[in-house]
Amino acid sequence: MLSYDEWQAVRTSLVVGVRAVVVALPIAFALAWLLSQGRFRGRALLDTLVHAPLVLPPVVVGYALLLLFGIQGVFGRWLEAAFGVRLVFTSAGASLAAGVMALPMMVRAIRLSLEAIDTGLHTAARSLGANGWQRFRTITLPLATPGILAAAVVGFAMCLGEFGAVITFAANVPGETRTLPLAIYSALQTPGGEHAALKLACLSLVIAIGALWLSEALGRRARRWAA
Amino acid sequence: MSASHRLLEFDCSARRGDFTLDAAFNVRGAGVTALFGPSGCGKTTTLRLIAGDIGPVRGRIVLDGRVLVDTAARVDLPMERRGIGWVFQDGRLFPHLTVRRNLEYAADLRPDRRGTPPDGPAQDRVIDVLGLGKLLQRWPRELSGGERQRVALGRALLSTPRLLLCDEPLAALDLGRKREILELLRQVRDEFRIPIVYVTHALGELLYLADDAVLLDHGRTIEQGPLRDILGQLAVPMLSARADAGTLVEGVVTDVGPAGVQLDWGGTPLHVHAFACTNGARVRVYVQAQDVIIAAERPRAISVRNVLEARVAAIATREPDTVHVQLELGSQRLLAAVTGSAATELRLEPGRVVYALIKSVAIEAPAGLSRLQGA
Repeated sequence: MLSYDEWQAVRTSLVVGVRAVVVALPIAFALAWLLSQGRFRGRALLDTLVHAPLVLPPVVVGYALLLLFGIQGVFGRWLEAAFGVRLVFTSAGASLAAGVMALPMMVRAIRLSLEAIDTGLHTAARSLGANGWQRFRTITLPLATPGILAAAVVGFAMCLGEFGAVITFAANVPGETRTLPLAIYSALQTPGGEHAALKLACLSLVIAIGALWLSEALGRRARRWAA
Repeated sequence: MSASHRLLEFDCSARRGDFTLDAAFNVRGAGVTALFGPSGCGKTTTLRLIAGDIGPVRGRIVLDGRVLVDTAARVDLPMERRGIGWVFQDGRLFPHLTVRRNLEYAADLRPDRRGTPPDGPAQDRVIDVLGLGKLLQRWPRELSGGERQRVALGRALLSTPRLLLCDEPLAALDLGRKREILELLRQVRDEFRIPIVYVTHALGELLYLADDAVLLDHGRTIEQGPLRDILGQLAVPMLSARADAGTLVEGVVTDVGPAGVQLDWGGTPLHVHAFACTNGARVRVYVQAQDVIIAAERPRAISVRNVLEARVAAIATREPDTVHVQLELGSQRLLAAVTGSAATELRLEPGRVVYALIKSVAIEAPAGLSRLQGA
């Protein structure tokens, strides 16, 4: 039904997406938590930076990553020297590009769930003897869980769909960085590839709808808790 | 004064926006101490200062010999280490935990887990008294307002507090639930012997529940002491100048019959219409000043059941054209309201002997319950 190349695109997409989400999720949580803590110095700057990928053309983000994490980039050179890690043109690089693009939406989902938590519950927990860490563990984390799960699903869906940033930063290497959208693009560039493109597009649709449905269900659960 | 007479010492100044609180009072010990006053008088601010939710600009709070706050000594114990239970207006149950886990929240935080610490009320007993047995597996969203407040009360009790703060816990409830929770609070007071500081602006709750009262107005303490002492004091207009001012009668039931209840009010017999009580019980009834008639001579052949010889102790003129008369019956005091012209005609003045007439059906028994209003 699916050719080897097509399966490889699906597998690459899943690997790139899962890796990106696993790494981005704790970062997104930390950022969301920070941004939900009210006023502090540099908050506006942080907010802008986090949301920048949402409004920038993805190609610009990919190019920025190339400047920073490329072989000549500040971080790229350091990563290569310190760990022997090279991100450009690798699957890890694709994850980085996709993860950066997905981060704003992930932060947003978590931040909404954090801000929906009634601060009165924290006061109640304090009056019952819970210190800061205990409140975080018993109130913040469980009540934000639906938001965190929703962020994971949304982030994963966005990583599956990311095109511009990935192709700019990680190129289109079969089996390494050629995710579903890149594979569709490649198929359309190949004479007689329309059939393969349609199959891949349908696959994308199924995965995306599944993710969306899951996030809706989780979101409903979060709202019920918050009520 | 011994330590047992001063469970809580409060002396604080605090600022909240335009509002300034500058209050000082003591809480005696066991029993219910009501913080009473109009909206915006600083009741909730006071409560939050005690709990540690906000800090004072200047001041000192001592609970049971332990300094919670002392701005001069730079002491400010965090809320979680104050050992003070707090029952909120809106319950604030944890929505992601079942009723049982809500109740066990404080116990779950302790490193040894489970088990009631030796000095606190037993969990089974709290569940029993508050009638929570059937709710344990339920989720907070499945509870009614009254059930929520019962769970919130139980949860606070099970954190082994030295003091329980109640911030208008009835405000969001309907009339039936108000009565139910008030009755439970009274049981909690009597059974678990945890001192309660109770914030309210409702006279009914004050009359029903409070042993002592602290009156607040514009952020200042106006008066404090046993409720029955400060209620009918002409010098305390917040209570005695109200249209529904009156006298809190604490008496012992000497006879219960279908025709009514006979009370012994410190030597003065008082006849009250029938209400649920038992012989020998201490009960509280409320005699509104408006319902007391003053006669210059002892009337004969009259339907009024209570004709009490009294002496005028003090008089205060209230707006509009109302005179409040403080009467003395032996060691008891009774507040009466008459019109200015009646006061002139009867030549009411301190020292004059008169007769106070109280219809037994006009007496509110038990005190407070019938004047509660549903939310």
